[in-house]
Amino acid sequence: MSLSTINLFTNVKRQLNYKLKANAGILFSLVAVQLLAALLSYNGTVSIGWGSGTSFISLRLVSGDIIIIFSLIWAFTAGLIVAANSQRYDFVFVTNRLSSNLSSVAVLFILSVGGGVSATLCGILLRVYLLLNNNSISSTYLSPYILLIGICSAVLYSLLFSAIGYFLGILSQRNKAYAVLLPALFFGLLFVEARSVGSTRHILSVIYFFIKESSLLIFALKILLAVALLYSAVILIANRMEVRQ
Amino acid sequence: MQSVECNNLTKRYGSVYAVNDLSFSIAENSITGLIGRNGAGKTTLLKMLAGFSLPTSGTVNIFGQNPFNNLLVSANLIFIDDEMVLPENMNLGEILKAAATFYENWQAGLASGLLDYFSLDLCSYYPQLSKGMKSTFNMILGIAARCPITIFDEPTVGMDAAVRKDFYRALLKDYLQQPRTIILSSHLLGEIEDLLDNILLIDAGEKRLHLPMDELRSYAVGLSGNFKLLNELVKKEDIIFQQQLGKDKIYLVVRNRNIDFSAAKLKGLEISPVAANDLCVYLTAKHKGGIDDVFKHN
Repeated sequence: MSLSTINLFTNVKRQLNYKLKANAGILFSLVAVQLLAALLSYNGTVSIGWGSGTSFISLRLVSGDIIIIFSLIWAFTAGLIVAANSQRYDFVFVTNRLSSNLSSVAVLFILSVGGGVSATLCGILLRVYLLLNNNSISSTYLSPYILLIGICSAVLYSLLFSAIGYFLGILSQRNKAYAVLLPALFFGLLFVEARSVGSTRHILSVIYFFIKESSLLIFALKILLAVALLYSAVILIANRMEVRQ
Repeated sequence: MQSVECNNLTKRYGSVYAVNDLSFSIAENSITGLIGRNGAGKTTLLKMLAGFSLPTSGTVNIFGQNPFNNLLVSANLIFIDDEMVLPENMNLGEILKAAATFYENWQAGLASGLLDYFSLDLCSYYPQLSKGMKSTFNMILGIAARCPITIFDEPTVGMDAAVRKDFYRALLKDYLQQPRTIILSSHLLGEIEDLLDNILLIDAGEKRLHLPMDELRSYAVGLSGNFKLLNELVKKEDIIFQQQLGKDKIYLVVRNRNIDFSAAKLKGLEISPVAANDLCVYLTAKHKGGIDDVFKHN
């Protein structure tokens, strides 16, 4: 019986197709998460009221921040789930570690774009709802340029969060202890650094490295570089990993 | 040509040798039964063949290549076992369609025919299936993929007798249409012995026998009769198994090499063939007297 020949790229395409279907549940959860976040945002994140005598002014700040934050948490879990699923579902059919990881990256990329775009648009939905249902004066105008920046940064953040999730997912496949150790290390350091005023704060400086960037282009470069680093590390780690134990 | 070749293959988990210094090769287009007791190392061995796990030492070659992390081997080898996890939000029809995209030789007609025959519904979901139905579906994947190497690890777990029989028949029929290398692991040799060309018997991670099926059938012979007479006859032979039948009567299973059958008959000893399944049980037993030994000492 003659052997089937195969190249990596073809197989990654086949796997992407299969994995998008196998991970479709993650997209449904995105809808649920964003609807929930929109509902929570409706009352506003900040509200201030002041008045004297006969007049009273109340200011309610409604923003799409919660939707974005929820979507980023979703992106992180999506990374974890895709990592777990790729270990279970990929090795039933044709794969090697590299093609399994590359197809996961492609899946997460598509999911992140979906998550980032819909999160930003969900914010617009909130504005439309406010405009239609509120008698008070509301500022709902959003210039297309700002919207584009919003979408880009939401997508980029989703990419980063899903990559972190995937990295942790694969690492904890390798050894279950990582699943506990790494989050503990992260939050532990975060608390320690928050208390120690004056001394160097590594985690905070890493976070500031991303969030304090004012140029979109450099921000995109930073994120893409970090994502590339995370995925390369995953591919290196996974390369000698045993599966279906 | 050899499809599978293992040299001094060893897999160690901590201090336990799951597979120990195993060397064998399997010729192309043959059906090999991998037989062994629980914990003999069958699954560990097959997972190394499939490239899922790494040997501690020694080498595995599939089509002359190392199977670990090898896309070519993966495209030409399918590994079916009862621990397979298939996507829970794809129905059986969708899973078959996905499988069809991965395997060049995929037989869509055969897959749907088998699915229909075993009354599996295309629209049902894998986690909802019973254990036996899961095994049946896995088996359909394995047969329809027509991979040059097809590995079934305990494929009949949970199947009822009728489905098991049908499965073996389907496997044989498809094998005749498209010969390929099939490795079938089981601890029930009796069921599959008619199917097999070769048998590889392993025990505690080590190879006990690797023989064509015909040779296994004449590998040993059963003798029963008077204790003293028998002992005299088989003094120099390899005794594989012994069982006390009565006060003076004993049953022995002996390696069939140079036993003087005419002398045995003259002495009134009974000669009987040993079923392949029983022989494998005897060969892998820790005590020559079987379970009886336990009761003897207590």
